[in-house]
Amino acid sequence: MHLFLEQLLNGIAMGSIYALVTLGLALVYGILRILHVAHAAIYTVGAYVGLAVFKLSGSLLLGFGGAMVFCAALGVAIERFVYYPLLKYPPYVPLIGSIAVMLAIEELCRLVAGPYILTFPAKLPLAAVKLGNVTISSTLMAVYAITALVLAILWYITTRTEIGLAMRATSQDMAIADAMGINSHRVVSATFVLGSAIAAVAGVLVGIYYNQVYPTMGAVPAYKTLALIVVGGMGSVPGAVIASLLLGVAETLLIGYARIPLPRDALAFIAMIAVLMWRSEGLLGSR
Amino acid sequence: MKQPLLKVEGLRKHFGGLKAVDGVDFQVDRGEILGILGPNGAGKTVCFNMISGIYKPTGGRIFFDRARTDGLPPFRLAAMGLGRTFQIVKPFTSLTVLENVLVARGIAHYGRFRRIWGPWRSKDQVAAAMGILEQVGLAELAGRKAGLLPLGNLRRLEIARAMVVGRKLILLDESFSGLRHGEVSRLEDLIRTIRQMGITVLLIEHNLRVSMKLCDRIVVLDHGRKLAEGTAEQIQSNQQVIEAYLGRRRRKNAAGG
Repeated sequence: MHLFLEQLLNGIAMGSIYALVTLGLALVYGILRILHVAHAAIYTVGAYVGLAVFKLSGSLLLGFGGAMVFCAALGVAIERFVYYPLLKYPPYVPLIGSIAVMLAIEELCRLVAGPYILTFPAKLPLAAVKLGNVTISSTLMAVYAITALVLAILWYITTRTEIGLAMRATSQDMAIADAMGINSHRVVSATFVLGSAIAAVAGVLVGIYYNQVYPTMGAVPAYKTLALIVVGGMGSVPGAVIASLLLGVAETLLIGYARIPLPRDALAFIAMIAVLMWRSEGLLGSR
Repeated sequence: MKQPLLKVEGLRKHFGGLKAVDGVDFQVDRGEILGILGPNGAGKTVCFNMISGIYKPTGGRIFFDRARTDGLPPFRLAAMGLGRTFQIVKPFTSLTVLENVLVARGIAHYGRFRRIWGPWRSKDQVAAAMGILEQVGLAELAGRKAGLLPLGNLRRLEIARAMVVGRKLILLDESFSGLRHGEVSRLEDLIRTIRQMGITVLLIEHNLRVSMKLCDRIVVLDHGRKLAEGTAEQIQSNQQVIEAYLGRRRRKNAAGG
């Protein structure tokens, strides 16, 4: 029972981190209908920038902030210079562009920071919590708290504010949104700012959680998040979050606890295939 | 003296070798209903798309509310008080009818960074949006998803959004097409109400009877050029128009009573 609970808590943390990366992908797909593979590279950059700022300043808060600002700028740059000029072509063209950007960023990280695994010696300033005989470490607490905070802010922005309504309108039809006085290109950029800043948070969290930062750390999330937005329903942010949490829990419980002899990373794809066979619109998608 | 709200001079739009609009001039005075008439492919919708900023003109000039506006993006024109509908209705299908109007209500905020973080479902906003829906006769359907509405109601929804955005000028692109007879006369009344509110109306219409009855003046386009301009009577008796466009139809109308 003890082990089960511990694995469940780890699973929720894993799922939270998946959710932070996947929702950016869902946001971008929802508004531009592009598979933003390079999103995972933004997450890698987030981890590196967060680590660098943390080492220079000694402040983890600055590390998070620096990573978010840098990644938001990077996300907007990718949108302006890669996706926007390619929007008039069939969707595989921006997809190829996205893969190219992802590889380029990975190589840049390797060139700048070296092909090593760096450690992220930061402690998250949250108290560990004891529940009966199970201890929730301060790192896990931080992952939960930060994810909850990010999701709450995102929920507020997208459902309660004028900019959120403009985002929903733009994702439905850019031409009409323009006719309603919405500068839809700016809304697209705002979407990239949001998604990329959140990916930066995820990158820093993963760096601390595993105490590892390395150039190819975005490779596995890159394809796992693709599977996850299919499971959640293309372009559905709540669907992406739910699918991510389920996957995180399923991975740790089925592989770590029940010891099913499967590679951990295969689960996302089994889920994707199952969804495509029985519910092709995804958990919360619309047909 | 009447003052033009919208004025186009030598407006041209070429798509490769196709001269969709080729040197059109006309002006819309404040408070009038001006109809643009013409057969398919005459360049009416292309004109609309240039006036509302979707296309950049190949040549010519557009003045809206005394400012030169050709080449400005659509959201800037919307912010200046120009609202429009589309020939093929395009509601935000997954939003409710009320939310569709609220998107348009946001026009007062979209340009200002600090105000876009405010709530959009405030009491005043909803009340104002409901008022517009009341006017177009969609108030009971406010909570319905826009994608589920039949065509007649969708046209009204588009006009409702255009009324919010178009404080000064509304462009209606074939809002009557596909409507049943009763709906047509209700829409005519609505357009007259809009004019009484002090909003100028520019409309494209296929239906001759409707445009003759509704419009103060009519501009006839053919093959991208202006064929004639004038009141309904002047247009009806214009020899060129009769030959190019009205000829057969007028005889048919006369025969049919």
